Amino acid sequence: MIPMGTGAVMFAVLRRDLQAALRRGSEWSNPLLFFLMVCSLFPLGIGPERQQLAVLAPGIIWVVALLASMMATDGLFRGDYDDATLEQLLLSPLPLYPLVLAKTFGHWLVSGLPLSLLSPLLATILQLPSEGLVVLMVSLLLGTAVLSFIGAIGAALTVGLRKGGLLLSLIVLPLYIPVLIFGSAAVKSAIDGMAYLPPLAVLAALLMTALALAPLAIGGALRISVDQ
Amino acid sequence: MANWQWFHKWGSPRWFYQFSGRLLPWLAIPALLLLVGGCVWGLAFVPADFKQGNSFRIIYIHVPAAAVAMGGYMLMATAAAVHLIWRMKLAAIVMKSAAPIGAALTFLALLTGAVWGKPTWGTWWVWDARITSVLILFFLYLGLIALHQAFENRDAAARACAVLAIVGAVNIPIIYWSVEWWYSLHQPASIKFVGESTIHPTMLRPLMATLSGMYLFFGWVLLLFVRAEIIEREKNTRWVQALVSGK
Amino acid sequence: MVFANLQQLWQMDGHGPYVWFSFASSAIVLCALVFESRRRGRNARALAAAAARRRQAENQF
Repeated sequence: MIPMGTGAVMFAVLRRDLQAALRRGSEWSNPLLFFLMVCSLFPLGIGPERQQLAVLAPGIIWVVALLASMMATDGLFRGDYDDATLEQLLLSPLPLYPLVLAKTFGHWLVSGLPLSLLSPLLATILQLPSEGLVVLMVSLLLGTAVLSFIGAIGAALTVGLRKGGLLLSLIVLPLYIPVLIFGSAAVKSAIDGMAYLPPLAVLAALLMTALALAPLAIGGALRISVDQ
Repeated sequence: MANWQWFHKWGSPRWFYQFSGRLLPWLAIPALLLLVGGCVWGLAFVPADFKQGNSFRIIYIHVPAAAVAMGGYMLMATAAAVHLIWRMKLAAIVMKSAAPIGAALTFLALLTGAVWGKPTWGTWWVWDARITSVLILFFLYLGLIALHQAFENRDAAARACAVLAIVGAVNIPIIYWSVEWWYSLHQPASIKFVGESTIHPTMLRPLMATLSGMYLFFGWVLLLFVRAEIIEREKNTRWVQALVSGK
Repeated sequence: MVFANLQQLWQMDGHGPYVWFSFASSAIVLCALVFESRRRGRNARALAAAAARRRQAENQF
């Protein structure tokens, strides 16, 4: 057995997840399609009037991004749980923290990052004023990262359960709310010409907190789910 | 060590059952007196509010329900931490028992809050910071209860809910702060929830009564739930069977 | 009492339905909590009694 350092293992986990995601194209494209389609539903439901959509656009994009992220999180640990890789990871002598970090980061690369990069397109179709585009992308980059961590806690808690998906949503949505509040507020502030850095700074702070604390909860939850 | 003996004694379901039995009347009677007395006082013996009229009297139920619902969650999270760190079975029972009580009180806070809103602001629902925070607290409670029911193994359920309760408790200040901030962004200048500063002391006293009464009530009902759970879990032990046959 | 008579207490200048509904539903919820705890206690004791009877039956053999 070749002993591997923690960094090497993290990289290996990351690479494996990314390769798997690229092979199964649906894993990363489904949330994106969901994002696009649901955003398109809003004009159909509300009406095409430009002013109205422009006012609602930041909130709409953020809520839909949140839902897409939540949907993508469901499968975060399930594949590894089903083929017993998760058990192996938990049994390994390496600390759980970096492994969880690697998995969550890999998940974000495949869900939150594409979503954020796609957001200017959706901003355009929802008539979001151009002043808000850059802040929209930055807020989504930061926010979806936090959402990935929070979602991972829920995914770890429900991975061993049948019908875990819906339960995951119930658990995770209240915890998503601060991210939603500050994310959409940042975009709205940018559009209104007001200070957008404070909400962005809060998002960054939330991300730092998530980076520090979430892997502890995720690791604990994984042990509970695998042990049961 | 003598220091930790009391801690482990508390963890023994049998000792706790006997101890709590003696405690019950000391919680129940003051709770009922304070609740009923405080309500009667607030309903009939306090003058109506200048701006809101008589509908403000709902405060004597709404505020205690919301406060104890929040306090209950923190108690649940503390029990969760105790369970995870020291593997104390009793802590898991307290956590499991507190959840439905807290959820019921949160629901009551939302209901009374909505009913209060109608004569005061004209709508059944106002998205102000406090009500929105209580609504999110309700969702947190429901998520916990749902998670507990989803597990077949009781120990796994307790540990999973313990993790979620702690995560929720850590998030509650963040959620509360962000909702306050959100509301201050969107708040129209004229609408203001009745601030503590505008409450006259005569209006405040019955509130202290119902608030204390509600805390005691929570403690009482929590003990009742915990005792029932203890009996059920320990039903195969001699002391429980002796207790049940002896009665 | 700040109200002139019981009739006024009931009506509360038009806010009566809201106030009394709130207090009534609170009473219902709180009583329901107490009854539920009692019910759980009864169930638990019944289960324990059944377990006790089973043990007695086993001990006789």
